[in-house]
Amino acid sequence: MRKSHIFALALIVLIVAVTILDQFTGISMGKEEPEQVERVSVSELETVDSNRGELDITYALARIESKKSYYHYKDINYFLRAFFDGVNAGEVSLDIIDEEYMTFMGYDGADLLKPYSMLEAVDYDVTRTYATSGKVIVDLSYREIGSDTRYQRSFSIIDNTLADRPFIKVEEIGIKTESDDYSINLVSKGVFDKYEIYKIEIENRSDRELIVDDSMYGFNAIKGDNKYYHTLESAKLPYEIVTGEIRSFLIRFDTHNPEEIYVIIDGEEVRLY
Amino acid sequence: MIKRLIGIILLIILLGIVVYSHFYPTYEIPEETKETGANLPQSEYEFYEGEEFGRHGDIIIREDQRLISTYDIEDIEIVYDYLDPADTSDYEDLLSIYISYIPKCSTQNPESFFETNREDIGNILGIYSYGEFLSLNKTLNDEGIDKDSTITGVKLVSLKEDKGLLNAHIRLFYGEATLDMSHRLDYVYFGTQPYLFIYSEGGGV
Repeated sequence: MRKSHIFALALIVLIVAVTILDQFTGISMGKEEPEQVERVSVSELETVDSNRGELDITYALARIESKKSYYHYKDINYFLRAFFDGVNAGEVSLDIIDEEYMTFMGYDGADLLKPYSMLEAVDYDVTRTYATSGKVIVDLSYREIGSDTRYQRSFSIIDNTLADRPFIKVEEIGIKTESDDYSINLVSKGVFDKYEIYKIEIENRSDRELIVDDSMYGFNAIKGDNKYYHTLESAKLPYEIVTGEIRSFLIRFDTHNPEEIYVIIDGEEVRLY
Repeated sequence: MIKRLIGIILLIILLGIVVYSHFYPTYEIPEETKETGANLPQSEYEFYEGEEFGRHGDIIIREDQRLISTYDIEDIEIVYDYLDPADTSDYEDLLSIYISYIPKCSTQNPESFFETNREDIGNILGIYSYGEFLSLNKTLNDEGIDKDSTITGVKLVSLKEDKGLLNAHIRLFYGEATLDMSHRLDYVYFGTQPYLFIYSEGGGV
């Protein structure tokens, strides 16, 4: 046997040995096992109680899951309970509140507590849940523990956060109406389940005080043959705007997508939209 | 000359095999990792009319078709002061499912486990944040409890009412190891039906 044959044979043996080692021991260069992520199938929770032998948890699961929408309701209740825990403790964690909603309404944590300020400890029952525009709206009744007087309120659950109204989304508008005396900016609207809230900024450019009609007719909207009058959603504000001031109003109309919106300012009705 | 050529070709083939085996591993990804979303059982049980098991009459399972489905919970009678018998049965069911799932959370890869199983973790344990899950995972690992640990006893240590909620403290025995857990029982009506929910309290007492 020639030297070259011996060399070739040795090389073949070496390669075969490395291949075998590589396959069976996992010793390799640059080759890693994929990360093992365990997926625990709930249906396989059969287990052992050393006192009683083999357990088959699937039957307990079946009984729980036979309750309509059990896990869906459990998720919803998690946020509601966190909210009312906060109410009862005097401070709601803003981590669970929808940020877009809070920003639009100009709320801080104290504003969330106001509806319950006269109640000692609050508990609730959910009267109805339904989905609209991809959000879950929750109607509930709440009461002071020990009292028979109940109050109604609707919440919405949005991407693992909560709003303490049936909030759906904010839409930017940005339509300005200007004159020598004022500039009125229809900034945006918050869309809720059965109403809309408009953010309206009025700047007084005149050298006198401007007065917005403070009756329900002060802001009004038209949709089809119907006329809608406003309610003021921001904190109680005087409707008088002094020279140079920019006053922000949150105005609610109990309809969606009105065709026209008006404000009565200085006795004159001005169309904003 | 021909022998040399055959030798060279053999060498090239072998080298090719080595290179291929380096870059294309032969082991398979476990089946579980391919799953996404919840895998809760739907209607895989056979229900028969006639002999009724359980309450409410909403589920009918032939008695000889089943094994024991709840743990023997020491001092469960504490709940009798707070829950009626039907709700106590619900609590035993919920607690048994809860107890069964806990050892699975002793994973050494908590972040991936939480992401993969977060829906079930919320559904069963009432844990919705990674921070809370990590706390439970750490407690389990500190106590030496792994996913194959066998439960040897369950004790309801205390149950206290606070503003309409029940705060429960349970002790789980895994041979020598014990695990103290606390959870809240929330009893809420959705429409006309009462629901009992368990929410863990931060993975410990």
